[in-house]
Amino acid sequence: MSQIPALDHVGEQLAAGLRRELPRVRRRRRSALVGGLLSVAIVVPAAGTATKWAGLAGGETALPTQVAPQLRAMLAEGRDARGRWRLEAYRAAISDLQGTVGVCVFVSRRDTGGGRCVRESRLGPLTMAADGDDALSAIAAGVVRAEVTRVEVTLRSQERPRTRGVVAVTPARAPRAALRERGLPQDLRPFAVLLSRLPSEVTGIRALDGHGQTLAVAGQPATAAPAIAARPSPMSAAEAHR
Amino acid sequence: MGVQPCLGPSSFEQLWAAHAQRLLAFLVRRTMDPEVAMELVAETFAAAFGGRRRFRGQTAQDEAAFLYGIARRQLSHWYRHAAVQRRASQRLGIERQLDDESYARVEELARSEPQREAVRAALQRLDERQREVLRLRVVEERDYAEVAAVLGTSEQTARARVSRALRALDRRLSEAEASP
Repeated sequence: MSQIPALDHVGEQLAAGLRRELPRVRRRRRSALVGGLLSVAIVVPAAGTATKWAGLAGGETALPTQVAPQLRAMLAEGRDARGRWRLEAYRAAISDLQGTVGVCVFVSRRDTGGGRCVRESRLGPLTMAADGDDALSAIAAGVVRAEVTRVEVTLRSQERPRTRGVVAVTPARAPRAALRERGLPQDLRPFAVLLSRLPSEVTGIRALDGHGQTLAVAGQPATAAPAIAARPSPMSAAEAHR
Repeated sequence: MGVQPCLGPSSFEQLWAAHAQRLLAFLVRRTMDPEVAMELVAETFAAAFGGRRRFRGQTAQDEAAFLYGIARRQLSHWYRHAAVQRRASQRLGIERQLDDESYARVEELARSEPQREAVRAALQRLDERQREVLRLRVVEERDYAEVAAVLGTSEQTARARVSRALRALDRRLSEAEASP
């Protein structure tokens, strides 16, 4: 207590505001868990809650204005232990930027989703989205603007990055026409990796080309590992795009 | 505050306990306006929460620097536009109502002996025109229309002069605080 009632009152309001803001991620985790256990499908729009992890590349924004399905470009899709996932991009007004229209990249599932929206001018060479509330189904996906052939994931507990099997990567069937029709940059190319870890354990992502050259990073990845072939994917690219 | 979100090593509850009142004193010395200072404190903490992922420090000192950096930007915006940004605090649902008791207590903060000495010394280092405009606006609490009438200028010019004088006072106070 500060002896200044109005200051204490502001403190209480701030605390209440933070309590309202913070439980978003926890609520999403709880609902996914309950949904998994009881096989209850809780439909959350594709523009689901941006995960904390999605802030790796900086500039995480509040949820965008929801957009209709026909305005979203489906860049890649696949299936894992939790079912079907889709990587989508779309243009939308970003609520945190006073309605500025930006580009959103989201991994969406039937019951959850995660991703980020940025101004188009800040759309980096690697724009990440992540989803997953348990280690079995965590997925990192995103768009890149170059030819990426492997992705290294740096985990909080390890000094060396782990190469992940890429389940959807450039040059995927980039839907150029779909991107053009929706006013999206036409050089967006999708990739997706299965993490086998919680997204919160990931500290960085490095995208590399076939020669082991770093093309883009997100977060704070460890130094690139020597050029080695990516581990076999648990899911073939054909399955990923089925 | 009973919540656990952290900036660096400290939770926002701890940050509030450690810095809110000091920040209020810092801001009221520079704005000479308890209501504005209170709004700036709220916006500073709300903006710190909103921008917590940009924080790269590791120590309590880094946290203080982060908070005061935000406060300075808020202050700078207020100097330029004579309006407090409220985006972050509105998002968190913070509404400020300064009751009479709080108003008096905040004024006391600015007028406690060490603060008064600091402000007096800083005022003495301003030029006569700046002291005059602050006397009209802050000491005599005249509105901008009256200040303009006394100075023989437009209201807009009066606002600009008050803003410049407060900014100059801010610089003097900061110089004094930085010197041992």
